[in-house]
Amino acid sequence: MHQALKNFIFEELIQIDDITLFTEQDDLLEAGLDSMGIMRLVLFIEEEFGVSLPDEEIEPDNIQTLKSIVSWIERHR
Amino acid sequence: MLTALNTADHFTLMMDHEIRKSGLSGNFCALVFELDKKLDPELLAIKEKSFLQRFPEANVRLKQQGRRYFWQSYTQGSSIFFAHQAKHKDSAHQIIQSIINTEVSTYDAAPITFHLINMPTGSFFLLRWFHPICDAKGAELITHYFLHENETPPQGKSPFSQMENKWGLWKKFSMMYKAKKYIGQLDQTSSSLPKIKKTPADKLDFKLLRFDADTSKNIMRKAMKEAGMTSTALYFIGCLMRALEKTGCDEKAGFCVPYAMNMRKRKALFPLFGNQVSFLFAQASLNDVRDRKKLFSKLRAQHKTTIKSALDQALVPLMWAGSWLELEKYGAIIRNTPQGEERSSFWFSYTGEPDPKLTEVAGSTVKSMFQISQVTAAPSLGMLVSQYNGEITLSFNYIANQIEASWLDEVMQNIAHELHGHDSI
Repeated sequence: MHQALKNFIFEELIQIDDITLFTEQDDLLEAGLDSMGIMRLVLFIEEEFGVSLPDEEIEPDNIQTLKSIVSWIERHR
Repeated sequence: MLTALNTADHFTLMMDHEIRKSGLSGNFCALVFELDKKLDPELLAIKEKSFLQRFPEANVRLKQQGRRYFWQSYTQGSSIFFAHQAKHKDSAHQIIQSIINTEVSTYDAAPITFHLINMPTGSFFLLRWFHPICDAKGAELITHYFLHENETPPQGKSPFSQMENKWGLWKKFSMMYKAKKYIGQLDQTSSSLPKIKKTPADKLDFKLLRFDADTSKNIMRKAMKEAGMTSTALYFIGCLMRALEKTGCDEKAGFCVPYAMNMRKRKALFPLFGNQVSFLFAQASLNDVRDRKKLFSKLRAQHKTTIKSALDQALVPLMWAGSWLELEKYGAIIRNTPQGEERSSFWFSYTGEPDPKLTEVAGSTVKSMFQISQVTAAPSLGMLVSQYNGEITLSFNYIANQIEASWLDEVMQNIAHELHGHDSI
């Protein structure tokens, strides 16, 4: 799941020099994830992992890192 | 050598035609940096030659062949850097105004020019660009590479062209049908406009509304809470809709606001040239606008549905089809509803922090940044939102002899209240 998310984020949303150096704890918002990127990411997650993520839960605590995103997805599986 | 304009470039060229038809100088925009010190113009003039050698794509002129348009290399020497003197900030404002209102034909316009405006203390450094050459993010990159001669952008493909090339002809036609249906639904609601005096347009002017870092942080917190993390730009659009309604405007059934979507990956340092933007619409009825909670809930849901149904991409084939029309016909379709009314209530742009961040210009520290863009008449008003060092600046661009300054002051007061989460006065 981590890898699928990472691939989507860095292939589609944010430019990064070396994807292998980005860890699950690194801050995606600092890395450049903006509001349109967040929207696209949420829609990708819903389609890819078959979950429904409530709009009111789209907040920094849930999308700031790859780790937090995975936890968020798992809570809705 | 001829380089073809892409679909998005063509769209901005059509808007150039519409802006000129409105009586204004053309589709010119500016990125303006306020600096803490005055500068020796020579420090910037010497960068010009290196920039043009590294980026010959900047030294071009537009050429028409039939209904297609191209950039052609410009072999005659001409400067792209200009130095100005201003006695004080007010006269610097007038110089900036004259730069954005400079009349030059579409085919003679240098697409990229840099300007330094020195004052007794402090200065402004700005890039004026002709929109068909690039979008606002491209303009930020061009400015960065003009100032940093030792840096070269990485190679990479145009995300806009990559996206377009994914679709075969039938796919394009089905997307166009979807986009036409979407716009048809939007056109069921007539669009309110600013209070515009019935005089022919003359010149663009601008007024700025700046918020310090703490206030800006609060505004962004409110934006995330009310418009959501996925659509913070819509917070600004919604607040301006409310401010216009409260101040009093040419009221119709609702508001409809086009906003751009940049296809670039964030933090990407390429491409510099070529527009990489499609657009979406934010629309709300007057009833929605009058109820703050309902408005932002509506705008959020609308934004999600639009992206989920890929309507953002669906507009691209429509732009592609439009690029085969004569500019006059293309412009009429884009601006007007079938009832012949202006579709856009106001123009809007939100670019956030510049990327990469420009902290100094030839040793002088950047204090703030804002943007300027010509608009059509109507709607005769645009709001461009940018951030620098966490400080938000709203740049209101308006046609000076059509929009009463006192009315605009009231709109600005009201939007400030709305952004803080208070109802307008």
